[in-house]
Amino acid sequence: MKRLFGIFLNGLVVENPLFVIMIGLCSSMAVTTTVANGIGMGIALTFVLVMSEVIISAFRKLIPGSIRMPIFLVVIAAFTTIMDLEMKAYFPALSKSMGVYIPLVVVNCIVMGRVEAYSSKQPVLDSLFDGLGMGLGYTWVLLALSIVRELLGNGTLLGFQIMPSSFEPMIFFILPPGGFLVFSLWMAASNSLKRRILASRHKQEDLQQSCCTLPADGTAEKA
Amino acid sequence: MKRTQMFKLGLILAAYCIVGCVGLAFVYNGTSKTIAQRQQADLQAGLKEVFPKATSFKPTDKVKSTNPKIVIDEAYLAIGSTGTMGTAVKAHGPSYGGDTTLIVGVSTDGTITGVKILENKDTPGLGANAANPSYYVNKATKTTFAGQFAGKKLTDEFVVKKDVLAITSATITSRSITSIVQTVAKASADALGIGGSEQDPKAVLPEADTIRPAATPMTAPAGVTVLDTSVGTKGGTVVGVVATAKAKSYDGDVTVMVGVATDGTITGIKVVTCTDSLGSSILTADFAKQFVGRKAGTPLTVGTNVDAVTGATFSSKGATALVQQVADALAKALAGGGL
Amino acid sequence: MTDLVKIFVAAFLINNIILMRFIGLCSYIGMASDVGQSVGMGLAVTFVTVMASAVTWPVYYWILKPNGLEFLEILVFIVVIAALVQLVEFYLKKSVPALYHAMGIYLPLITTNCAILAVTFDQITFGYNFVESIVFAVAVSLGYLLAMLLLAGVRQRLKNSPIPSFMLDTPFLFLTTSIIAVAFMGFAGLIK
Repeated sequence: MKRLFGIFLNGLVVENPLFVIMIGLCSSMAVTTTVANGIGMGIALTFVLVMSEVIISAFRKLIPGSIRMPIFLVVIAAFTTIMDLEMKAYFPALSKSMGVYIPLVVVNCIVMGRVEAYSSKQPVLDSLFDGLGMGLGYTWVLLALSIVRELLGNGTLLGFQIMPSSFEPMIFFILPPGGFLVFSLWMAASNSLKRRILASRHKQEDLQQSCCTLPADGTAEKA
Repeated sequence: MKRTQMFKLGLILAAYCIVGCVGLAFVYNGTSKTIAQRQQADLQAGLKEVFPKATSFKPTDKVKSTNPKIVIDEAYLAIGSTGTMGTAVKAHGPSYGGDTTLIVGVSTDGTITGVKILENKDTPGLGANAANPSYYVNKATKTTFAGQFAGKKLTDEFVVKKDVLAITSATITSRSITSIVQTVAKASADALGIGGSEQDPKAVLPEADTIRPAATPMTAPAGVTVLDTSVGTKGGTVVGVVATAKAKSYDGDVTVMVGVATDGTITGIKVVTCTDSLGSSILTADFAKQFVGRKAGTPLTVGTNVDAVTGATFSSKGATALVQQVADALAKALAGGGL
Repeated sequence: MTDLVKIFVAAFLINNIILMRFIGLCSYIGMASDVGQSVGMGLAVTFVTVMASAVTWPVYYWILKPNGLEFLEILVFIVVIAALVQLVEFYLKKSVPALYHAMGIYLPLITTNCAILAVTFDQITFGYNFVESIVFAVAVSLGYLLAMLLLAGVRQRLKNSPIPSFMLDTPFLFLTTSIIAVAFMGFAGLIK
């Protein structure tokens, strides 16, 4: 049980897909103009991630290594379509406002990355918790981004007026440049927090490598 | 060996694909009904919103867009207690960030009953405010961008920043949507047979300087519904009467406004609406002009002393018959007094 | 003709796929570290996007739509694109080695590049005809190339700049991108 919780926590914090591994960035900024969209996207991705990880993990012995990529693609695409159809049926407004970013979950690097790196080698239960951890790790970052953007850019949270009526919304924050800025600042905050924790643990040596280097060989795309 | 290996891999891949597709087909079957139902419910709610007085909506294919970029998706006749009250039309056209889809309601009196924006892909916080129910172009009256069109006359100019309030920092969006609304409203008006023109009784009784409602409405001839009877005066003396009446025509209704002077001469007529197929072509001024100067009581027959509009002979006949009935009734009423 | 120009300008600058729509960000942050690499990646993306559009458009309108199989769009498109990339790589390696050396190494990286798939979905959503789709594909991928080049250029100048340690690397790249995006907002008025 403790081991599963560790796997879960790994995705949630230690290897957070957005802040630490830096994959799956596209949708994180595009849909975070409102908190509702942020949560919707987070749940949608978590669904696809968990289902794909569980199915692929269950069938991992029946997937020949040489054609594993196309099979992963088919499985992920199938679950993305299911999620897309269900959203159209039950949350049409949310589905409309997220537009093309819903089908793009299929090429979200997080899903492909975790399926390839984790669930194609690990048992079902572990994969389930990895999917949940990673999915929720993604969701809370979206939540953090969208809270700042909706509050400053529109003066509301989940559609409810929060700021006093004298507050003139700073539209900048819900425009694309605002998305980049808020992400940049959250990431800087996360990095310096991590740096402090690491420093207090006297793990000075891996400070630079763990948080501040880019994958120069483009592994992020490959994932 | 290599060949069989390839074949085997291909087979495995195909198996996964087939399982995936079949699974999706099941999910699609389940959700497509819900999606269709929901869209239908959304549409009905939207129609009701732009045309609150209507009790039901009947599909029609008579609304035709004049602009190839503005596409009419679905058109409905708004049916109320008095029959066809107008149209509600769903259409889409280009805006700043992609197509904007909206519903426009137009009433038979030539005013817009409401506009609802269903989908807009413009910049969030700027153009997208067009569809935001809590963004007001006029904060004092709490009027939304789409809301300001309700009650607007089709004869208005539809110019942003003149008679249409713009969304702040989104002039292009404001202009595009205004243009879509105007095009759709005009197309609806054409289909309703009102051509967007005003219904001022003075147009058929130019001599009068004031028009007042008649004390008692005109006696309706058989098969005719009298919508309005007015008396025209000049300097206090009665110079003529005007009546608007409706009757069955070829496969729809025709409504005409007829003005008759005190000596029984027709001072002017106007075909207000004609819902026949191709009927809107008799709304032209040329068709109406030929009645001016005719005496009430003399027979008016299409083909002998009235020219039909090409392609709309039946509608021309219907309208002419109605003009005759109304003119005769008005002349009688004038002679008998009591208006 | 003016319609095509409008589609081009809108897709290239106004709705720039990276700076305004955030699509293709992973490769943007990962690859745009030097100008040469950006050009190679950008050209490879352009090539594959145009090829993919030329294939997915007929597939959708001639196969999926007439048979009521629109719901298979995601699945079919991703598989078609993946297969296409494999074929192109194979063909270039064998027949046009020079071109393969210039951009072949980027090909495997872009099978799951969001930009390409997004373009093919958008063409269907916007209801473009075949010619418009191709123009749109070229414009979007050139916009992608432009954004990559801009960041790569800035990044080379940043190498020796004193950046506060908490902003080092990625946060600073996003900050730079934010400012470039502000500049791109200025293109908004280009089309009426």
